[in-house]
Amino acid sequence: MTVPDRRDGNTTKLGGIPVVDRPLGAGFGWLLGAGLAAALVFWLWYGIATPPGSVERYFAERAAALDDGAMVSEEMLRELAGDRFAVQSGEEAYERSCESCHGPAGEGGDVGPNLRSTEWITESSPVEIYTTIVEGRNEDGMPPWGSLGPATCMNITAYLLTIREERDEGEASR
Amino acid sequence: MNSAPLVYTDRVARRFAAAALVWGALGMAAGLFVAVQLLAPNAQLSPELSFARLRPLHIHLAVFAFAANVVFAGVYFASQRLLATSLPWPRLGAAHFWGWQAIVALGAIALVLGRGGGAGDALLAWPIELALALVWLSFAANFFAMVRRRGRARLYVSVWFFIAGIVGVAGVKLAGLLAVPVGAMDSYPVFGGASSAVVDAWRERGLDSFLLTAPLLGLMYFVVPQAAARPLFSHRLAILHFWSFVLVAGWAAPERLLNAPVPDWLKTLGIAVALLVWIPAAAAVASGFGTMRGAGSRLLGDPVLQFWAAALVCLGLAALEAVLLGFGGLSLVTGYTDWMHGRSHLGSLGFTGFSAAALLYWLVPRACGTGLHSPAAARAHLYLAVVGLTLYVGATWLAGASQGAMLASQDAAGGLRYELSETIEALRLPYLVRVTGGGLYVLGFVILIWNLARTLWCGASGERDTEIDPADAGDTREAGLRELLLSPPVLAAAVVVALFALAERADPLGALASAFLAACVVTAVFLAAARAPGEAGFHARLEGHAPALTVLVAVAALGGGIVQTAAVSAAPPEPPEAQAPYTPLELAGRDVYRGEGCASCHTQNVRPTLAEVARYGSPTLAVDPDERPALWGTRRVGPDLARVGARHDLAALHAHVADAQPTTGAPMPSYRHLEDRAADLAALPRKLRALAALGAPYDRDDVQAAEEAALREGEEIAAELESARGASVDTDSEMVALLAYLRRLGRSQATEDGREPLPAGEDGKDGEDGEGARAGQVPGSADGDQPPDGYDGGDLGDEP
Repeated sequence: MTVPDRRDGNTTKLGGIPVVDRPLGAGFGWLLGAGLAAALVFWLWYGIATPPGSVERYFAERAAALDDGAMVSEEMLRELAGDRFAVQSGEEAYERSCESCHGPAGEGGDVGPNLRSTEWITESSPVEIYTTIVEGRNEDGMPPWGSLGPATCMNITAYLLTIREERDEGEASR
Repeated sequence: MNSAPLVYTDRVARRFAAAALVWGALGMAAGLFVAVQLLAPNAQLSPELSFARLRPLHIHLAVFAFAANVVFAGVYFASQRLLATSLPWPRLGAAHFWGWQAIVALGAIALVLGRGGGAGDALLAWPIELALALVWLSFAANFFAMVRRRGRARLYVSVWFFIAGIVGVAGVKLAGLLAVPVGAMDSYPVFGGASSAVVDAWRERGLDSFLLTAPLLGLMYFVVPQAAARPLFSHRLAILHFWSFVLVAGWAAPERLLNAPVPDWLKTLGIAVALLVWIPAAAAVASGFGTMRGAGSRLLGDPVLQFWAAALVCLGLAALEAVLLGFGGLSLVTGYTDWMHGRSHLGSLGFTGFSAAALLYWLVPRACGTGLHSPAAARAHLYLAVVGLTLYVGATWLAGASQGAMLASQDAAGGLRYELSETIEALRLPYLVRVTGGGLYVLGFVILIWNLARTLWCGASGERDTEIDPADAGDTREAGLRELLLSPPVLAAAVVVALFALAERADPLGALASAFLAACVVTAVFLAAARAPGEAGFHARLEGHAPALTVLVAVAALGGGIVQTAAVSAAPPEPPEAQAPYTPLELAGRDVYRGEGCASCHTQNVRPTLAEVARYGSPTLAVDPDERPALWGTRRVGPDLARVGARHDLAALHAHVADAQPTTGAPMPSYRHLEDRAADLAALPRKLRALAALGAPYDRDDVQAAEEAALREGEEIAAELESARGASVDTDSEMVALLAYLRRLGRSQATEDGREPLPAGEDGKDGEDGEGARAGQVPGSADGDQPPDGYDGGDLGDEP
């Protein structure tokens, strides 16, 4: 085994295999250091709280979507509750999808709770009601209904706002 | 010190190489078969050959039958030469050979019979795992005896990698054994919930690193300089490569948990380590190509070097991809899709497969004392393999990225643009390309088998004496342990670790940060301490002290997994509501789910993104620590099942399990045969007792009444199926047990004391309401009375 040039440094045999000592060079060292530093900085400062896929990030995204109107807002749902056509369409959707659990007029059934006078419905904000329809209440066995599409879910929310007993201010009656 | 001449015992290596050829063919055939099944779901010759069972079998054969046998052949062959000693115990080597083949065969049979552990790395039943660990120790014994009797003072970089592989796999396999047996074939892991996912991820990552990668990297350092007739490019680069590889391999498991409901700090750690994956990969590529550089015409003509060059390209690509996915956002799109198959096969078919081929083409002729039968055929193999792999990986990446993007696509109002069934339709072309690519790769492998079988048959098999160059032996004096431990690098590292541990001892996050930082510092110090290979620097002394080197490798390779598991176990994420424990029948059904390998196609984890929540319901925040093991899965061929019980009633669940494809077009085979199989209800008291011992809230009465309770619940379910579907199903069948488990998913509300099972009366509710509209989200889901609009699947409610 010949060593081609001086830059290759010394050759030693280890395990019967010739090995060259070759310095890695300053460029490689800087690259390595920068890589380590980037990972550490990322870890220590940037990402601890909310890496992609964290639940907090999801809640933030959801809040942002609400703000953008990509989802829904309180005002728009309240407004919708005053829209006769929206409420009517919501009622139809309710009859298709909700009635079997919550009763024909929201009075509750064997499975679903009352949607007219229970504390939950009267105390919840429109967005909370909407979110519950879309996402379901897993712990209570209520399935998510987001697949109906946001418009339908909004209309159902509007309908529910009109049938609950203690109405929030500024809400149109049915 | 040995005196020349030495006799190298290559009989064991030859046998392992031959076994690798046979098993490799079987493993790849299984892989090809499951790829075809994705196109034609009912292309199973019998229920034992379903996709869900064959996919773990494919992993098992590829990893433990093919790759492991190649590694054994290479390590037995190379270690004798690198350490200038003969195999200490050839009989133990033979026992290792036969023991390993028996374990591989038994494991394959167990998986086909549905006795898998449900984990991603094809974990086997505990007696087989135990035997596997023992056989692995016999391998370790032979290897470390060679190290002990070596005729050369300093260990070459290949040997470091062998040590890392042996220690790492031993750790991984021991972690898999931390389980409580509940019978001849069943067990429950000691770790549950998030901890079990961390352990699983660490085991998978560990197998990848320490079995499929480390020994082959060591063999690259052994073969490439000889094949290229060039000295190793740089000793310092090899040092950097080795230590960064071991540390990243030991710490990077959370990189696989970016999609899972584990604590955020663990995901962040995974991302941080993923951002470092390029370091060992770049060092490997530089080492390999640097050594080949100047080999000139050899590189063009020699299949060994060409295969190794291709393997290194795949290694580099895989690392770049890991960094890319490490940024996190992308893995939310590609996670659970075919992309992950492209990723794993870039590593397994690409790096492991190509370097295994290179090694076999180099080793088999030399172990037989002959030449390769046909170098031209080997070159043909190379071209087929490269084209096949490119098609395979390209198609799977494309399929995964497009399906992921379709699933995540929402309109301005937050509605989902695509049903799962529509995205699956779009996968047919990529799947065809994938089968084609895989077929080409397998064809190439068949050429390798033919070529090497001819070489093995034609070659003389007599052992030959080999002279060893006495000048080559060097000084065999081992450096003193004290001399090593009191050396500046170790002291510096110890001080750093101690300082950080003291400063952050109250805070697991800080402790982890410091451990990671310390690991980086240690690497840097090692690197700084590396001198010219001829000089007596710290690392040179370490290379002469095998026990110290082994201990350091063990700490680096296993420390990360232990620290991470301990930190998650100490403060596991709490599920939002207390969970009622599984009823005995649900538990039996869960074991059917595990054994059948349902997790091959279904996840149980709704990830926290807007699109996913719109599709599957509220996000999975944490799973119960009593989930043993967590069945999160890694892949969605079908829908997520975390909430399936809340969405569908028994009749719909039964319709889907029994006849998904003909009625709904879902790419799922029929599981009607589960109706004819009796569930193992007699084992339930044992299972409950084991789970109670691990902390699940079952009391003595629950255990005693387990079998009756299961039969009672089975009767209810059978009666309900009878009335809803007119189906008569045995009350103790696996079908009933599985349905009990499925209807529980997503409805696991706790009652007041958190211990009562779900009241039976609740079952009926899903049948009465109109949840069918939800079915539009799930291809092949079928439900009650109302066919959802725009849903192309059949409606099972109309079935007679």
